[in-house]
Amino acid sequence: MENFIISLVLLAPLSILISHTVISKFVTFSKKIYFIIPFFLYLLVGILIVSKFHFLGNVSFEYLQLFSFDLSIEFIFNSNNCLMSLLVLIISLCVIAYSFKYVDHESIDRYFRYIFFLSLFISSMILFSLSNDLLSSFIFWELLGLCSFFLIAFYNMDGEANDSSIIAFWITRLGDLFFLLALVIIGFKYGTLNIDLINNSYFQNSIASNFSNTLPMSLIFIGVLTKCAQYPFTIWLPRAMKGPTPISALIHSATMVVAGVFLLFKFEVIIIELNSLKKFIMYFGAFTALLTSIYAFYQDDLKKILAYSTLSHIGLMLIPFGLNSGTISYFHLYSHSFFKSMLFLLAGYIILISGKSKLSELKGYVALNRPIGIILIIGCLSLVGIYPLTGSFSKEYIYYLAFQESTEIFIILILSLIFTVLYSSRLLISLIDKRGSDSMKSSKDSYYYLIPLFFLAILSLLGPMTQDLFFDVLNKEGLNISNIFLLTIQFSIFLIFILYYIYKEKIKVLTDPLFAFTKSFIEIEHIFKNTYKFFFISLGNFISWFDRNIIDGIINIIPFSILKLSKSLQSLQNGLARTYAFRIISYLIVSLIILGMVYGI
Amino acid sequence: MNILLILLLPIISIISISLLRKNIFLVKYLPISINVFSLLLVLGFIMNEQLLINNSFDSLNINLYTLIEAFDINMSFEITRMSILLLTLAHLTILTAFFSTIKISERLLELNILISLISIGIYGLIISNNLFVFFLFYEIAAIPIFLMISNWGYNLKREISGPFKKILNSLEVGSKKYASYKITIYLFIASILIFFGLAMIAVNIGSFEISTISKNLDNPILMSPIVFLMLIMGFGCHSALWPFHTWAPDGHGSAPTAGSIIFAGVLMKIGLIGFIKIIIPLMPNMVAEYRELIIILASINVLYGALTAMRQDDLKYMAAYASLSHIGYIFIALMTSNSTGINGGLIQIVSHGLIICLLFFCVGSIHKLKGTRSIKELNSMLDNSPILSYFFIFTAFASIGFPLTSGFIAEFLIINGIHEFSYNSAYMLLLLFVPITGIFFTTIYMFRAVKNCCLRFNENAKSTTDFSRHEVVICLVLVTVIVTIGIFPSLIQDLLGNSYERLVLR
Repeated sequence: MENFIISLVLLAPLSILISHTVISKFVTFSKKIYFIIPFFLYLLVGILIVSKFHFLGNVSFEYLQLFSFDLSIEFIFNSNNCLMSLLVLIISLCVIAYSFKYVDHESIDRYFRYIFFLSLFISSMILFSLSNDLLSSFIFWELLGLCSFFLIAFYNMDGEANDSSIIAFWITRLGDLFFLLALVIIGFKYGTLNIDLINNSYFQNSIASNFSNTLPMSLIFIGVLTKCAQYPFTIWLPRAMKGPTPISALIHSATMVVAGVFLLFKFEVIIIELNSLKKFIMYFGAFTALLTSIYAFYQDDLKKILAYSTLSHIGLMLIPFGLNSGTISYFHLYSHSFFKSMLFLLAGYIILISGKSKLSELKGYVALNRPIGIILIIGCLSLVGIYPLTGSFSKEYIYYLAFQESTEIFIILILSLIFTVLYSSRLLISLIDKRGSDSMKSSKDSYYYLIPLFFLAILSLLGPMTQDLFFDVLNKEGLNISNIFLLTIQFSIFLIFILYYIYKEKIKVLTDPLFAFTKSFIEIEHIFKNTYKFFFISLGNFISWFDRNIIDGIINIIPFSILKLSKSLQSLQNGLARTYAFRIISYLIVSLIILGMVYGI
Repeated sequence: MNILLILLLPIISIISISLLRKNIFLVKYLPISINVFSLLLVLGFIMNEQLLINNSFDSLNINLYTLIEAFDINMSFEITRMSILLLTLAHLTILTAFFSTIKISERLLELNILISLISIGIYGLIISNNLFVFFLFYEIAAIPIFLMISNWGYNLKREISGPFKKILNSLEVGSKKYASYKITIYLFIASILIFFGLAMIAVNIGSFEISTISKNLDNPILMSPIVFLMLIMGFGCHSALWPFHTWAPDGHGSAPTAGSIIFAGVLMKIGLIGFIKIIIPLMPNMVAEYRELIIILASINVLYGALTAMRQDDLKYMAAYASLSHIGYIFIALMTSNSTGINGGLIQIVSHGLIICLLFFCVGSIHKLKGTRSIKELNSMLDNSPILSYFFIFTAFASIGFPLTSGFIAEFLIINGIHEFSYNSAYMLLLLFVPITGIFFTTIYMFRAVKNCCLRFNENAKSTTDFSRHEVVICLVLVTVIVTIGIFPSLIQDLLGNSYERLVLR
């Protein structure tokens, strides 16, 4: 059964590839089939996982026989992994359904490129969630980067999209190499790359957290930082918004960027033992959460606001690791995905219909009494964490945990919350038209877009049920939020919302210096650019100049000097009878003199 | 015994195409089919001896006849697991080179004859077990290269500045004449060094047979630094070890596509074969002594090649420096002297050969189809010629060691080997950053090229020609091999078996 599921997952991208390259040469078929096949395959996978949930075990394949240790690839169907893959499947199915119309007008080549890399992405994300060893995690982790590269550059007519995709790829690749280094070190140290075995042998062997344990985990963490676009690698994610919106919804909000958090969650038991590293993770997360939520408040582009909001939420997900509770970060990952991908798809719909993407141009565009308005409200409220929407529970847990364990983190979180509320209310208030006018007529195709949106909206409403999924674990850790705390948070959210509604301009003026401060931190793209320019370009220029002119010059001295020598010898044979006669006479005289001197005449 | 037919088959092909010169179709496809047959012979050997299952096969020695009795010069061959692997690679390279000539119309016959000649040299070199025979086949391979560049090559422009401006200008750098003379003289000097080195060893021991020499490892001539440095320089020139690499970019750049493929795919491997067959097994003490030197030079190769490739405008020059950089990993891997690293190095030889073949084939096709190789001028390939671009992008991914390609297996094993090698000393751990940085630099220059050539869009680009069928076929063959090694690395590891044991320094 496990093998069957995995082969189904692999079949989806393969079927598209084969039907595009081979079958389409012989049989003509509608290009819509490219969407239909993977959709049903993934649906089948989802159904199989749900129905056989308790009967699935693990499956492993031999990959490489290394001399010092065995490397095999293992997929394990435990509850965490299955839940993650179901999450990926649900959002993917929505995105596939949404994309069905979204890329309909593209040429067949681009159409193929879109769906092939989309399904390759989905498959590798599912297998990444199911994998139980670092090697296959690394393989699929890299494949995620590959798909992201192609999909960001989907609109390659736009030069900026190309730049963004290349920057995203370079940065994530840099992190991947640190991950690879961690793989090597862990493999040598533990003799295996199997995550369960590593976790077990860590507890059997180690007494205290020392350098040799912290090093590989820190290297993995650097990989996670780049893939999750945490500070200081924040720059690639907002730029990645140049890609198609469904891609942003799937890859750059719900799945790939949070894959790193899931990877850390798999190593939870080790990480919470490593004191310095876990503090490090926590502060990185908190710092990013605060900066990006402030920065999001000042963005004008609809997708950019959501991108920075995603960054801030990923920062939130990293915090619980420092507070000894990886489960809560997984919980937040889970609940964040639904409403964030919904908001992205919604933004894509609005941009598609209106043709504008700036918030200032879209003022009052969404009518309150239309389905789209309701979805927008659900999304925004879930974003700030209004009880009992999906977004609220996990967030409350994080706040509560910070409140109990660490004051400074709690203060940062509260600041971040304030700005989260501010940007969400800005989004809501600018977009919604209170009078309920019909500025946005739903066009003919809109049902293709609206059905997935509704589906995700329903999932965003099912907050308590999401909590039930994690209830056992959370109960085990003894986390019970007091009602007073809950009420305070909810009350302050409402308070900020109302304050913003009344004193819109004043708040903006008041927080301006803070914005300038944040800006100097967030807009560090020039640092990367200058590093590239001064290090890579200048050094590359110098070395290639050095190679072509100095080293090659030195090497060429040999043939040059031989040529020169031959030229100077050539002048002896200039073909003039006068010179020859002169030489003969002078040689004669010289030899006569020598002879005379020798024999003493 | 059957396996020695591979040395005869190219001769048959040369004779038959020279006789049937009127029939263009045969001139094009007969060498290809004979090469495929020869490849099948090699694969048949793998099947016949059950190399993938049977661990007991070590080597097969064949002594054909004696050439000169005095110095024990015999036409003797040794077929090991490693040479079978290298033979497979050489066959694929030669096959790619033949495919790249199909579209050439002028003097195709002569070009194919030259390629066949080179193939004899390469095959013989790989399986020879006698230093004299080694050198003989080596010369057979080296001579046709001059004719190839000077007849079918390209003239390039090269800007010169700096203190050696006068020298370089007087030599007409960039022209195909310059490149052909340079590569010939360069490699000739290298072969003189190799010849003297080998001759000194053979005369002192009294035998040219590698198997006899390896029984006398404590002979003082094998401890002589002069001989060692001569061999290192000679073989280093061939595999473009820094600073003896400057023939590579000019040679690759000016050569026709078939030439570039052969240079990068097998000619640069001659030096490595020399290391594997001669230097490391015969002079282990000297290698152990000079290990740091080779590691430092190889690390310079990795980083220097990558940094130089970053600023090249000509795709062929970029590929040449890329292959320079990738050769560096192999040297580092061979010097780590542990099973993991050496296996990684051996796999990297194959992987680099395949990937660089594909890269040069793509670049050659780009040049043919678009009329330029300049990264600045190329654009919109992904929209106009998608198949070509997908293969090109695949090559970029393979050369950065992307998982599921052979490059990943090789680099993963090499990094593992380096870690194992340098585990005990803290400063040697810095060595780990050489391959890592190298891969990152590779990512930067490869994807700079991909972005500019494939992604960058220009509405005015009208040329929509794409790969034709036979180009797709050969690319698919290479891609299949690369991906198969990437997905089932145990295949190549079973084939290699315990051949690393000869290369471990004790």
